[in-house]
Amino acid sequence: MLKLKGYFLAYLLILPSFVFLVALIFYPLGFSLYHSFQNWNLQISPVPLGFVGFGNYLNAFRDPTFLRSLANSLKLSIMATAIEFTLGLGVALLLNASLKGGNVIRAMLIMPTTVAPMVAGFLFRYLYYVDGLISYLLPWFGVSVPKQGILGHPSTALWAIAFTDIWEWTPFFAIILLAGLQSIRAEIIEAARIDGASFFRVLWHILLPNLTFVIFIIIMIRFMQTFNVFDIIYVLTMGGPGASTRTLSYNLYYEGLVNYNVGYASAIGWIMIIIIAIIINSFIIFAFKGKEL
Amino acid sequence: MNNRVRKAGVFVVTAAVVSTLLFGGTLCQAQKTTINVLSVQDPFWFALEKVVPQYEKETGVKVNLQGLAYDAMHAKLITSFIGKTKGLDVITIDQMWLSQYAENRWIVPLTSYIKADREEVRMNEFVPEAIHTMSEWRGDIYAMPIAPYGQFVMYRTDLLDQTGMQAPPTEPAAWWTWDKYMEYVEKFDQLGQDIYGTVIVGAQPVPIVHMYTQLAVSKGVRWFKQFPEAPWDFTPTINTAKNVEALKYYKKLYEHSPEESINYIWYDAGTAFSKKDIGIFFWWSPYGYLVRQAGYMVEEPSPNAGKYGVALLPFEPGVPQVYSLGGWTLGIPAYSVYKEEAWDFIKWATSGRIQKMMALTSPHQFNDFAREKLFTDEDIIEYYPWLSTQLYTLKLGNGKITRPPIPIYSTLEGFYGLQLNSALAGLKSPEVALADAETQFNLILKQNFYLPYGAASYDDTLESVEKLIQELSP
Repeated sequence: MLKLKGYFLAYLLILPSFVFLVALIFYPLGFSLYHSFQNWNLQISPVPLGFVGFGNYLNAFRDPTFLRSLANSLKLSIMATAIEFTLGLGVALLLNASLKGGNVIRAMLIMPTTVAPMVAGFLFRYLYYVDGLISYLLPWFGVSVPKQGILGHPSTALWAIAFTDIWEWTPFFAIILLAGLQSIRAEIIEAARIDGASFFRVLWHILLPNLTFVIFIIIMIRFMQTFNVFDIIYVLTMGGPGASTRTLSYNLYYEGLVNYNVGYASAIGWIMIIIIAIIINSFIIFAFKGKEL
Repeated sequence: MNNRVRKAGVFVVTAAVVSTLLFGGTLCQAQKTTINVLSVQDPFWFALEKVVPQYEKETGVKVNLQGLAYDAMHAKLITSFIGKTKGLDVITIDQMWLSQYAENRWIVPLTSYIKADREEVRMNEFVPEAIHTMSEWRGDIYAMPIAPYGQFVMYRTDLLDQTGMQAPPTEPAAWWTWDKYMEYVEKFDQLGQDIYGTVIVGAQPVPIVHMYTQLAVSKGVRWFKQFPEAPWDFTPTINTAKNVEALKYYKKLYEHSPEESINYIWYDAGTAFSKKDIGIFFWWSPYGYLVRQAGYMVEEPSPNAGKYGVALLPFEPGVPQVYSLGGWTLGIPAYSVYKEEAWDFIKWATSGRIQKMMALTSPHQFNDFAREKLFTDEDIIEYYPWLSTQLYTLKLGNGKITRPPIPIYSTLEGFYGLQLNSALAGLKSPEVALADAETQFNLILKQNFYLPYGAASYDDTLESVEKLIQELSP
């Protein structure tokens, strides 16, 4: 009787969290899944007009703008995550070397991550202007700036968005990887050094293997976040010029909150969920194959 | 005991008196009606904000005036309609949204309200073209114009003197064609390295459509086979030789514009004209006063203030001239609980007296009238000397063919703007861009039951609106 009472109390205590979870996560997911099979455009009707099966999903894959958005999302996520990881690892290794003023540098380093993405977007919008600081500095490094501006040319606009994302989130990689590096026993590294191992051998054979779990988790998280990035695109380019910086998230926003095509937007949302789920699960299987979590 | 009871009694009475004094005022205040007005932050909002205290003084009704950016406001409106939120009493409606809101019954028709108050509303004072484009849908008035916009040309007088060319006309002139306009642009461009012939708006998806469609409609381009005259036929007609020519012309204008104008939204073009050296451009009529200032709705004058003139748009020989007509109206959401109070506010805000007050309030950044008599008011002309030109553009305005306000307009505009921007950016040729746009139009129109159009058409002509205005006038 006491045991039952205990279980009842436990369920009662977690009930509010469960209700919250259902209301804020499962209900919207269910709602969007249901309406992804409906023809519902608020521009022509305040209520759904009928069941269309997989029609919205098929329309997505027939829509050149959607396909372009998918390609841009993948390009941006892979590019940004790879660069953020590489730079973040470099910064973490430097900070791990116990430099003078390391604490101050660490504190300053985290600052870009604390800036709201919208604010970062506005900041970089001014820097990318034709007479902005970045446009002024790039020719010094041998990079020519298009006459239309960095954000005005299809060949540079996506890079500009990637750079903004890299500026903001590289410190995140650096801080997490630094924490990982500092958890590796110093004696192992010392022993390797005494045995004559070079920096790169230490990195490849000791540091990276010990950081595997951390690296995979952080890459996974950042890939998902970059795949879903919306705010800096909205502020910087609104998906232009043309559709050269239009990503799936921007497409979703546009279809849902500009065109009010609720059915189609719901289908895009679920396609994004499925794509991310496939990528992340494939990544987990590959990355953690044979390893215990 | 008696003492204690007496003390308690005194305490209770004192507490009651004090509470009444403290909170009674608040309660009375709380019972005062408050209406919520949601508006876009276009220039008229700033002018309205300054005169709203006058309304509160005159009527005792409190006005909670909230301004939002375009996209944010539209999103808030739609979510409030879907959620049947009762918190909005007066809303601003863009010209292209009226049909969607009316057909979904999200706003109430105002025809019966106008009939009841015809002496006060005075419909005969309104420019019929503004009512036709902005307020009327299927024979009913759904909203009252607070700020109609036409389009005209603005040019730098000091740069014009350097070219030696004659001033663009303020009245119709046979020589002022689009070819001639391009000559002016090229001449301005040759004046110096930092001088641009013109400036365009290139950002997709919406801003570019606003500017481009003025050029296109003037060159004879139409979106559909037949609209708004009955029977409606929404077969798209944007992939035509005329439109290809118009888009090539727009590309040529871009070649004489600041290169970054491919990303320019509405005010960016105005800022460029007010701060840089731009010879000539055409844009919405509020820019006639906006370019006087160094920034949007700031007091600081622009370096080019006093150095520009206003003229009519050029025309295409053999094509009847049409001006784009857009702007904002005030409507009442269906779920408002203060409809009568909302209507009173709308009548007040769109009245001649208040519109004049808004125009004369410093810093004189509003002259978007719908009542014809205000265009000849000497007090107002003193601050906005180009009013006769502006009135002319309204009287030749037809927003229903420039940007057809059918319920799925926003979706079509999105595709159109994307393709126009792609052509401008060199990603596609004009021919391919327009062909792609028309393909998308066909798909969207078919999916949304516009091709073929099975519902009843309405013969939506200026003549039918003039008749309606007459019926509603005193």
